[in-house]
Amino acid sequence: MARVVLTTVGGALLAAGLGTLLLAFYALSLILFVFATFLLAFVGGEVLTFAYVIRGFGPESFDARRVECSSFVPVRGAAFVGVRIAPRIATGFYAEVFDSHPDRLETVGGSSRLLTWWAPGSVKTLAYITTPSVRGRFELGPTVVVAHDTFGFAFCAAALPTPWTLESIPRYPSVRIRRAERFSTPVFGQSPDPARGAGMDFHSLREYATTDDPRRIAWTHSGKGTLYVREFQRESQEEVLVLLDVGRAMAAGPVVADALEKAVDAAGLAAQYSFDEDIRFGLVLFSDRIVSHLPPGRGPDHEFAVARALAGVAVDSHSSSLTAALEYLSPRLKTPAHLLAFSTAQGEAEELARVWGALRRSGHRLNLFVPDLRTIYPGLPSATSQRAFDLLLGPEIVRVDRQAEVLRRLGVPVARYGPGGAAADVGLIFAPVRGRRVAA
Amino acid sequence: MNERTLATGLFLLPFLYVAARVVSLFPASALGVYFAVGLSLAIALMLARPEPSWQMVAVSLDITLAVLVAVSLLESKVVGDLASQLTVGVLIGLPFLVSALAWRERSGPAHRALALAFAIVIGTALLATREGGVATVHGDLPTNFVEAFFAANVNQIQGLADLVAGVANPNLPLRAVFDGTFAALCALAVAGVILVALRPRSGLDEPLPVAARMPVPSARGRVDRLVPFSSAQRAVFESRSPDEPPTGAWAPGLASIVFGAMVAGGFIAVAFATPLYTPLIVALGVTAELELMLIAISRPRDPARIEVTSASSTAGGAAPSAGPTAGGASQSEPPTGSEGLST
Repeated sequence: MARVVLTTVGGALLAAGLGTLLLAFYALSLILFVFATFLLAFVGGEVLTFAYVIRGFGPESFDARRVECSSFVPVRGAAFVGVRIAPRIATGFYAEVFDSHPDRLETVGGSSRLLTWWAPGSVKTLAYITTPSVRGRFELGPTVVVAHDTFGFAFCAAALPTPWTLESIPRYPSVRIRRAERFSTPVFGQSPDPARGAGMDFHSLREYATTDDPRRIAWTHSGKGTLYVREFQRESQEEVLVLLDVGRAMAAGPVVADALEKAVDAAGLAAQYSFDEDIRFGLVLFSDRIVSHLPPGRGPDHEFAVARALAGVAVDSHSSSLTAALEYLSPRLKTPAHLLAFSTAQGEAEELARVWGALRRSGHRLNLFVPDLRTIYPGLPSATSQRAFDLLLGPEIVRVDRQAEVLRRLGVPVARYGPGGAAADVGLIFAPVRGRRVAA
Repeated sequence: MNERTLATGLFLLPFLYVAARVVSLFPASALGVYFAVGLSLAIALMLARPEPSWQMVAVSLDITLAVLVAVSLLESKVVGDLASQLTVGVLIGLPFLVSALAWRERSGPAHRALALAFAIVIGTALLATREGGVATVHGDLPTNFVEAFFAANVNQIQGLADLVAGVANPNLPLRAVFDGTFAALCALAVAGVILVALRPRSGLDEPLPVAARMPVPSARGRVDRLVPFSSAQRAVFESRSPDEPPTGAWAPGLASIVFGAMVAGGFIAVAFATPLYTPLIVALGVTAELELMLIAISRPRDPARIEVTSASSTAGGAAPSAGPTAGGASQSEPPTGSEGLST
């Protein structure tokens, strides 16, 4: 059963009634006595009547359920949210109803709030259209019902469990591809692993030509006088695997544009390019453990799973270990893959070199993207503050530089990304393969 | 005229009456009295205005008046009667200053009720001083008035102490005077305070919907916003609840007003029937009410605390990881309609 809470107005008026009563005793004024007794009786009567009317008020006295809510929405898209609430209270009351949602969901239609008289037996429906300003998983609910007395002297609140998750899926616009030589090798097309044969994946039908192998004639589709042959395409052997460090060090930078956010943008772009070019794409989220692993794959379901995974990426409170992620992948990578790692490369340099050395010998390639800590933070207003901040950041910058140098010596191209993100560099990696199908 | 202006006017009526009654004692040569009363009234009117510039001017004038009174009291030999004249003026103007503080935009009904009670006490003391004290004291009139005012209050406290001690017929100067006009005007002032307090509203002073207000159809979402949604979603959106007033014949809150009025009427009846038992009855009634309210507001509740969680893993947020994402999080309650990617 919920508790009645006196509001500031109610409590103050009760205190004013008592104060007036004291002054009435001082002046022995009839009008003050009458005023005081009226005030006290009025406030007391109102609060006690309210407490009686909403007896039994609580989450269990409502039947609340979500109706027709959207589950997925693109960033800046429109999602629909609806809640229907039926009370089991026999008397009417004033109520404020609001559906809790994060601030980053902007309501653009309808309202997530209602201030109304709730007649007994009537059903209330909250419906609104909301748009997320950023990617992410947004937890909606609970839906809170606050019962008010008529004059604002007391209230009673109940949180109705109406959980719902709205996932805001990012969109990745294409970027202009710059010259490939700006970014060091390896790039696509230089894989040492040759493709197998002519392939077995069905591609299309075309009319028979005399040079065609008769074994490819599609008899079931051929009619009198016209023969068709099946065309096959080569299976793609290319795999891209993005390793996304979600450790706490990736929170470097301003809140809404930190290193992880930039990495997510770039990873999304890599996914978009991969899917465009029919390249199998996988994703590993890691900190000091593997948070999530989507093995390389293709197809609409896989693309959606990747988009959802990227939408839900958030900074983990743990430190991170690129070595642990590579060790995890080592037995799982069946064919040579191109790894794109967005990480601060924490951990022992020698250990990292050892693990990567083994993977390199198996034919895998790695591009490492590290946040540029010198530029990712916006400048501070005063020179003294900036110097102090640089001093604090210094050891971490040195550490990242050292790790990058170790990997460079092993032939791993290392790129730094700052406030502009890593999209351009990712674009350069994919430049040789972008549009090859069109050209073919 | 809106209800606030009307209530303010009603609030000021008894104190304008008191001011007129008391000021009439003083000759036209007592300029300090008129000056201080006029200034107090001006300050009150300025303070009641919502504009910050007026309030700044009022505060400046208030400080000026206080400095003027202090200096004249310290240098009374130089300024002569001006000190006591200004003090009388400030005493007469005190209810106006109190009312000005109570009628500011930020003040609630409790401030107004308490300010009115305080102003009534000052008004009663001023009338008691006028009726009982000044005429018997010889010498300078403003000085005598100030002395008599404080003497009346001291005597009242002494009389109350005697009353508690069981002394028969104690001297109670504030009770000795009953001005019917003042009492009637006070009743109007009380009505003014209650008038403003009786507006249906939430604890955050948001107006609650009332039947007197014509229901205005709430703005519906633009059609182009709804185009991407399914027909079921559009149907829910169109059927969303508007803010509704109560439709019953018995207005909500009326019971409390009637109850308050009945208790106040009962008090008057008891006060006339058995005046000796009235304080006891009042004390018992107040204690019982406070006990009941304590029970009502301390009832255990479940769950212990309402947690309005807005946890989400969003871009740039520091929320903990939502766990593996490959499989996708299923909603705890399946949607009843389409849940495709809304655009």
